[in-house]
Amino acid sequence: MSVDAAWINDRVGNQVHLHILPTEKYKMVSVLAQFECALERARATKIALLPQMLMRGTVRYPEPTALIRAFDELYGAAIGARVNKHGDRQTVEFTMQVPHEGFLPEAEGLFASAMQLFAEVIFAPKTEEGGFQKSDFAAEITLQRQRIENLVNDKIAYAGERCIQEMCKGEPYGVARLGYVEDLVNLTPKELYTEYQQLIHSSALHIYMVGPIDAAYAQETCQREFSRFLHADFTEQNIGANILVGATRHKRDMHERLIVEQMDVNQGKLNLGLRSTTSYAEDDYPALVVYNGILGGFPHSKLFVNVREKASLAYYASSRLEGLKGLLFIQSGIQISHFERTKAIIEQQIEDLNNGLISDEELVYTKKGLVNQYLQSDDQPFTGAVLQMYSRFTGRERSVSELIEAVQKVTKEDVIRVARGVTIDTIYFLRDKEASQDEKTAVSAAK
Amino acid sequence: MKKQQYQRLNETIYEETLDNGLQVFVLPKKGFRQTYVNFTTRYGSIDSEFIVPRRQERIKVPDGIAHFLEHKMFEEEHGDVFMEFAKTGASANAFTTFDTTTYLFSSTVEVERNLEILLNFVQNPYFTDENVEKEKGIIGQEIKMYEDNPNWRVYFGLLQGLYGDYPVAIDIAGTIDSIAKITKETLYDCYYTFYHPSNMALFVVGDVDPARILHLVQANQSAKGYEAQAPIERFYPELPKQIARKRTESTLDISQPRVLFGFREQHIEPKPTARQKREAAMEVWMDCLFGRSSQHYQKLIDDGLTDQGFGSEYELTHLYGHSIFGGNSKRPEELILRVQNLLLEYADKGIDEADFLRSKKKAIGRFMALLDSPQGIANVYVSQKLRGLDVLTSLDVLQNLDLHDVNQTLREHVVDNTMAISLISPEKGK
Repeated sequence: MSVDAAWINDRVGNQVHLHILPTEKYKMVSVLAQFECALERARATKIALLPQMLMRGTVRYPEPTALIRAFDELYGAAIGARVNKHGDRQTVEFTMQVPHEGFLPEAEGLFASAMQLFAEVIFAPKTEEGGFQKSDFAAEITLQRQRIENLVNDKIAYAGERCIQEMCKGEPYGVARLGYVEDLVNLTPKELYTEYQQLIHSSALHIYMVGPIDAAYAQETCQREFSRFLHADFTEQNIGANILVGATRHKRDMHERLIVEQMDVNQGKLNLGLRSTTSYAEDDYPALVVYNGILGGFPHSKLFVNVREKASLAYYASSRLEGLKGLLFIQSGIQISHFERTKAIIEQQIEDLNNGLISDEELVYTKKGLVNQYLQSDDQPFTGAVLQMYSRFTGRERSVSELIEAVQKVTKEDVIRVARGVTIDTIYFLRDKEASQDEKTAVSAAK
Repeated sequence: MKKQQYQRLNETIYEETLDNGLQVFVLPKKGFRQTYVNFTTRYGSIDSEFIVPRRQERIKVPDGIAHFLEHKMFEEEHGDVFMEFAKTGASANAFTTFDTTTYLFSSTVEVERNLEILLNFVQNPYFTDENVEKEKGIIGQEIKMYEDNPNWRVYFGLLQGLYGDYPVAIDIAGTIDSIAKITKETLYDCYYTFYHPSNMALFVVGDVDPARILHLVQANQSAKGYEAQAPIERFYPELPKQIARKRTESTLDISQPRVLFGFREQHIEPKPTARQKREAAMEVWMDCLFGRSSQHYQKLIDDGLTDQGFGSEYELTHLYGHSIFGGNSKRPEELILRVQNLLLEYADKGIDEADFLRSKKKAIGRFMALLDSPQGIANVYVSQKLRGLDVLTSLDVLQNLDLHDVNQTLREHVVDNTMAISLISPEKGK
């Protein structure tokens, strides 16, 4: 059983790329379709609104209720649309899960009917006077504004997002996934529709289908459903040429910044943003993956052991890697008065890695843990989709088996070399409003 | 091993009850890279009063102790259990619910070694005054984290309204004050009451050989020489006849109010199969009325009363049951009134047949999706099995459901004086 999936690839016209993985291990057929574009402040808010707008209705099912009903009739085919952010790219993603018809009574043609609806959601939205329908548009503007405002309600996610925004201000990666309330204000249904037209005329659509499905049948179905929507004037925009993906090297030749934000919270959120000098496309990327694992990717990692287990300061203390950018983000939830202590322990862990204080266990456990994660990713239908997307974005192809092999080869010296390139860029602390004078002094002294 | 075949689903579960009472289930899944193992005891946050078998003494323990015990099981005399799993790269974890505590791992290599680690650490408690004290800081921060989470706060606000001080309304992690009272002696009492194999189940799912797994578990268990334990005596306060209070309100630094409301179930079914049917019927009418494809769902959104996160759910056990409706709302009072009126209207006129058939189909499809997730199926199967139910029969239950049953559960459920409301709002002046 090879670790690397054997995808069957095909095209519909020059825009739609099909990637099919027939496998009997699932009961559902999972479908993912995505458009890709550069992440830019000027477009981000509009692009982020598109998935919501497209779910409002199609030419054939002009009301959202009718549209979802049509999916529900197909044994609850689960349709979803969302905007996503991968490094300096924004993607518009559509997902669908359909049960394999063989398991169900009177379900012949289930997949074909579902794909027909799916294609229509993407390419045949309901329109009015050359734009999206006005009342739908107005409703979605209100909802989108609330979605953006609601981000503050999940304090863990909010702190993580704020740390990124402060750290990457002015860089594409600092642009918010859902965009900005102020950019929604003057938007018109026509302008949004123009943005949609531009996207579908300039971005390839990659469609992944995984599950108990016959490849020829899937190809035939997609040819039929998508060829109706092909545009003669489609010209793929090369989004790889004009933006830099990868670490922003020595971007800021200055000391780390401390950002303190006050809200009525019970727990402090301490987040750190780190820059490295390598990323997905480069040879040192596997060493960076191992670095992140040793620092905070596992329960055996330095952050979990030292912040949580030894000092009892937090319930969660971990790090994650944004591989496309070569950025690392640390997150923890702590008692507000423990800010200095926790910060010092976290900084010590980074320092220790920099000084090569890595035990054999830390290295071996991390590599085994990573290999386990890579192998387990084979049980997720869209792992292959993510790897292919990364290779389109970076020009560097990496399969699961290559990643496993590369991680296994990483030595302590490799990790130390990567560690020397890691610097703390931004420290973000979300705390309560009633800071005592002593604490204020303590925090400002830390700046 | 006993073989339970589910032909329509093309799945087989192998099961065996060992001499010491442990129930073992194996679900072979061809082609899956990982093996996922769930080891669960029928012991959760609501089990705070019971007889300790070894001294036949009835005790009441501090709130949050089942969850505290879950944390402490990971510490052994030789160190941290996570390090044992880390040696093979396995990913381990645990969680506590109202009525269960689960320990789990998933791994792609050395499954048998990890299975031994799992069985051995859960069956080997090691508590000291020092390690118990240390955990209070960690769990304290877990509690603080939930205090800032509006979903969690509004959910427990509703349970408090529906149940008062009945145990299900008490936060699973307890409070800073309640966990301060936890000692190693009490932890041992809880452990030796609830962690006997006869109160536990083990579920293994993956590309495995059931006979080999069973052999390993049997050998591991028989070597431990467990003596038989009489059924555990647990005491729950009597379920209050009335809801405790109509409204529960609180504030948090959030962007807009969030509201949940629901009804206490009046028909507590002691029989598992009757419960399963009621649950299925409830979920179908809730989907018909407020699911994404219902006309009312979209209207509530378009009228500005809520957003796409609006939803409903239902829970029923042999002790208690309730429905929950709600979501974000800038006009919560209007939202509640609108939903309440719709419930009364449909209790009277019944669910539309086309909606009923569509919801049933949807429920069938969604159930099948569960089977594609090793973790999902293991966790749901075990928690239901410990409540006396086989979740893989859900498909038949759904298919046999008729509109009459659905309408009856709706009529029986919507009783005005069993409804409570929980509201969390931004602080005043915002």
